Amino acid sequence: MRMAKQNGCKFVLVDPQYTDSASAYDAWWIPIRPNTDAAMMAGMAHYIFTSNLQDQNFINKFVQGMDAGTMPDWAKDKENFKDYILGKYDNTPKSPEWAAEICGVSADDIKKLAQLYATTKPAALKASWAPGRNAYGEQYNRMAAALQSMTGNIGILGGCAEGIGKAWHAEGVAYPYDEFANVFYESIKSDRWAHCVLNYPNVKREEIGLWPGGKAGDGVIPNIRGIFWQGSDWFNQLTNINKEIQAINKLDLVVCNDSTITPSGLYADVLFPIATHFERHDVALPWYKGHYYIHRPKVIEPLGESKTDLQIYTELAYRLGGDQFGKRYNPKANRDYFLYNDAVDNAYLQEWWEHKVMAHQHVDMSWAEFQKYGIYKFKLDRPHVAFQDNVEKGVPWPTASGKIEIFSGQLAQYDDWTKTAYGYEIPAIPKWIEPFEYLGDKEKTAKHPFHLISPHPRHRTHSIFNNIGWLRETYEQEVTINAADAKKLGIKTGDTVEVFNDRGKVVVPAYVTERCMPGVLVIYEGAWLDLDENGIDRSGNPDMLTLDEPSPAGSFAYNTVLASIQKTDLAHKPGWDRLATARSHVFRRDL
Amino acid sequence: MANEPVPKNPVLQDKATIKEAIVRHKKEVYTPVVPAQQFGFIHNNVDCIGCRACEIACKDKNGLAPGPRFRRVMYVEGGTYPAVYAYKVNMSCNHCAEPACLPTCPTGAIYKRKKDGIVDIDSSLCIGCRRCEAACPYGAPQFIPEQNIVSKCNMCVDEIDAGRKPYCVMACMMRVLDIGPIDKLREATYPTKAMAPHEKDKLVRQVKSMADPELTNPSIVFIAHSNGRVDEPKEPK
Repeated sequence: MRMAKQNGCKFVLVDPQYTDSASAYDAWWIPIRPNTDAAMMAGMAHYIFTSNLQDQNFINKFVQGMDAGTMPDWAKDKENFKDYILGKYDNTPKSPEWAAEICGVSADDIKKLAQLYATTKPAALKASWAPGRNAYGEQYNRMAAALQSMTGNIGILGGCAEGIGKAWHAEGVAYPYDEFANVFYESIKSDRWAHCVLNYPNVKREEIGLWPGGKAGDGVIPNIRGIFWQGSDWFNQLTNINKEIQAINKLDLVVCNDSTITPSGLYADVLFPIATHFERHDVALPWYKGHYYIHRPKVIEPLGESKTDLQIYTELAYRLGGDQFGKRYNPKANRDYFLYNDAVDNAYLQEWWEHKVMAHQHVDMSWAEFQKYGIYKFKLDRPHVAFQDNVEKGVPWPTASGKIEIFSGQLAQYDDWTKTAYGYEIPAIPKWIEPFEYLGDKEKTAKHPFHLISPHPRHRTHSIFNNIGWLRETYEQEVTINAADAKKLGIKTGDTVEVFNDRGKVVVPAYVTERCMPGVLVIYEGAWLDLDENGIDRSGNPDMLTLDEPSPAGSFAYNTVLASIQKTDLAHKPGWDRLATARSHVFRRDL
Repeated sequence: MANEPVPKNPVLQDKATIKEAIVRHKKEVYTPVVPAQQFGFIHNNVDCIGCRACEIACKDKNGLAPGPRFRRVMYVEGGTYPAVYAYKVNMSCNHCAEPACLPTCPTGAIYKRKKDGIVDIDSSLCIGCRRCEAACPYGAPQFIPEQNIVSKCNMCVDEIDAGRKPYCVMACMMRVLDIGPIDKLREATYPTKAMAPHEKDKLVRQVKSMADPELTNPSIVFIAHSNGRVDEPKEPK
């Protein structure tokens, strides 16, 4: 990106915050009200259609349902995207002026950006994930796909077909997919577990996103009595923590696997100490499909009583199901795997490397060499561009119609949404749908006038590493608030404030800045919960305030939150110890 | 800006008074070492994303607990919504040509290397009096309470002697931090990824909120943000 900037690439950031990326890439910052991105993009689409700037050739060739001419024969009477945008169905053209009212971006800026995006070839619309983690967030992602395809920016170098590139597919799991790996296919949306526990049996399947697997038991509301946690920290990560606390007190058994004690671990009946990745043998695949593998040798023996997850599961398999079950669960292991796992782990990894990585991905480096060298990086003969073959060679898209489905044939054919994984209706074409709560909601903003967003922090990974002093020193949990808003409330940088709504309350220091849109509050997710006797979180975990109602397509509505803010006498507890030197306390320079 | 600006000390605004004091002080106590080749840092204030990997790499290398920070990335921001700007200033020890810390040391623990001008503290001689901490205009010396000594960036001398670059530079994922011979860096003749070829005119010795380089002649240059320059009138973005 830095080199792109040096070569003259122009950046635009649409975000409630002027981020450090915006400053580093000298971006044109367009502040937008949270959860209204789909409306802004509809306004852009309106400008592109009415100015006739769309790539009609690309649309006719590759896209289904962009306009009347590209609708499938069986659906000629259904709504198409262009006519929706032009207001044919509801007499409301989705014009830039219409969008400006909703998203707080001026119509002129929407037109200017639409003109820039439609006439710059190629142009990459990076529809990142946070705006999708909202009520009806799927409409934002689909609206972005509509813009990308109407401008022909898919399948070409420099374009972008989605938020984050997914061009390279690593070979996944090395450890055994045994014959019992998945014998139960029913699942629910994970942020609805508390709702399910608290309301059982008066729960409808659509309320919990009960996944229809087409198997016996399909659609039966689960009576959840116990939870086995592995590799996650729900009390830092899932929505509406107060509801989770209520629910967990109703359970009979909670088991937690983790390498450190976490807020979730505090609620567990059984806590298994798990070996860290320094204490077991593995291969790391880059998150989000980078084109390399990293060897992860066992650097030290597991500390204390720690065991790997697989050691614990194998031992459980032997104890629950006897020798036969244990052997079939982990075929390369013997009964003593709980004590001696090195040779077995190596055998699995070696088999995976030789029979999957080497065989499928034309890797010529042997397992022994790879271990010695530590990293294998694929040399790509050309840049990986998603959907290049579809556009250049006419390979059909992996959809039912073989085209980019702006009009989704699948969604159009559902008649009973409660029997789908979504539970609630999703329109067949991308549309702006008013979120559960947002700044445009006059009634709800009268009570809680601020929109709270909770982006990913850069000084920890979700909640992981919040216990690392070095990282906590680089940043303190804080709420970011616009300077004009803060002035009205008498809040200054460093003041301790409470941020609250009907779901919960947190106590954090304030960071007052001009870099945040008025009406918006920002608290980074993943702070380690620290409840006082009144159930107020002193650490500042924004999930105390989030809504546990997922969007129909399944995304959690982390960023669909209205809240209030005021000064407080309560003390903030930055973590389970005091290590931070807050950015707000130390690094400010008033110019 | 968010908070009220602090009124400036009129005495500290008068460069002539400061210079006079420096000259008087230097004459009395200290003739600086003139190195064969002075090494220094270059940092791109604009392209730095403020990830602070350099800080963490430095703490790793030097075994520092939370608290003392040899390298410090400072976040600067200004403007009024929505016309705002932001940039970073990244500093450790500037290995000054005329280090202010050195003559304050009562035990002679602080020294400047003849070879490359690196300023270091001999921890076996340091008594933790913290005078150097007070003298440095850039906040480089850091007190380490567990050991009761002052320590600071030594540009990873062991890495330099092995022909490599310091940990902070090696950790910089944006390649905006680098070291090199300071005279060449100042002339923009040293090849470095910290600066794009067309950014030569943005190369400066001093940025806003930084002490006057005339004080100690620090071995550092920056690619400055337009709002961070001290040699031009501030233009709103």
